[in-house]
Amino acid sequence: MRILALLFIFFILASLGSALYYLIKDKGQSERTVKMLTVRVALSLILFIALMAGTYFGIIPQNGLR
Amino acid sequence: MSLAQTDKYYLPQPSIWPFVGSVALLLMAVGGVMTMREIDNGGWVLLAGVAVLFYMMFGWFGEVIRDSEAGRYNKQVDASFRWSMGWFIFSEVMFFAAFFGALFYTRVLSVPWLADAETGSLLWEGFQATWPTAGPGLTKDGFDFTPMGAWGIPAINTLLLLSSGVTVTWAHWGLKKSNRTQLILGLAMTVALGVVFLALQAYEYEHAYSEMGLTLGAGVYGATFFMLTGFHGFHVLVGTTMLIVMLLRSIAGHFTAEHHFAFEAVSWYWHFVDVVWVLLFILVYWLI
Repeated sequence: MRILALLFIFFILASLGSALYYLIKDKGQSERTVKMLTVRVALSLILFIALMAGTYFGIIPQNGLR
Repeated sequence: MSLAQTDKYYLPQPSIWPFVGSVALLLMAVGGVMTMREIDNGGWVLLAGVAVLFYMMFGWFGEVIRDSEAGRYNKQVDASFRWSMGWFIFSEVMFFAAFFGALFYTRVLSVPWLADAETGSLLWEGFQATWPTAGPGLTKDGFDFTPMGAWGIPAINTLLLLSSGVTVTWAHWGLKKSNRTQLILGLAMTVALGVVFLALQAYEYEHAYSEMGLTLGAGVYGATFFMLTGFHGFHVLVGTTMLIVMLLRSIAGHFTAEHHFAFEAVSWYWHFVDVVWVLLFILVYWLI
């Protein structure tokens, strides 16, 4: 579970970083920035919902992943 | 500078705004010190500083926006804006890395060191390496605080900020697809969510100070908690202010699907602040 959460965080940071790269490189002429930001927000939502659901159903202990 | 170069680079007129900004900072610093030293009228001086700061923002933003709308920013200027954004974000990442690093150092290294057998017997006998802790020597002296849990306001705030990430992305798509109603609606919802987040954060701080004994002075836990969440909250305030400017500009008909650096930069900044919060929620509130 912990690895999975860390993987999500890695991909969230990677998509955010790519969005910044496209923001500088494409100069507003492409959709790559907004696409990467969409990926970023989708991954964050999935992670948050998974953490909430995991705790609710007792898969993750109340005081978090250690 | 040769003529060819002045053609290429846009040189702004000499500006009064950096001077006005310095006056604002001076007033705020003096007012802040006066308030902390409980000198009369300190609050008013501080408030005057904030007022001058708002005046500067209004004036300076207006000047930049008028220049942009007049088409004075060529490709060269656009590239310099984008690179400035990149370096600004680099400094922001380093800033937060320092505070997350302090938390990591405390929790993973210094607290266990202070509690290990040899150090413990020489310096802090009986100190246990547990987290949250105020730190050795402090817990016995009345630093009795309740740590902030993740459920309740922090979880609601996470949901609010993530929702605002969705609405700002929706607005972004609206701009790219030349749908102005979607752009304006998305931005308005994002601003509203940002304001509610800040209000809940203020309520949480008030509760921490008045009910939980959790203050900036509550040892290392209180210090790291308020440094991290406080600076994040300040970033949300800055982001909300910038989003309000973007909303007003969108209503005024600014930005096109191809020409919208200001919007894109603010949108990215908001996503960045959102990601920092997700990390805060997991590392500060949740893994206690």
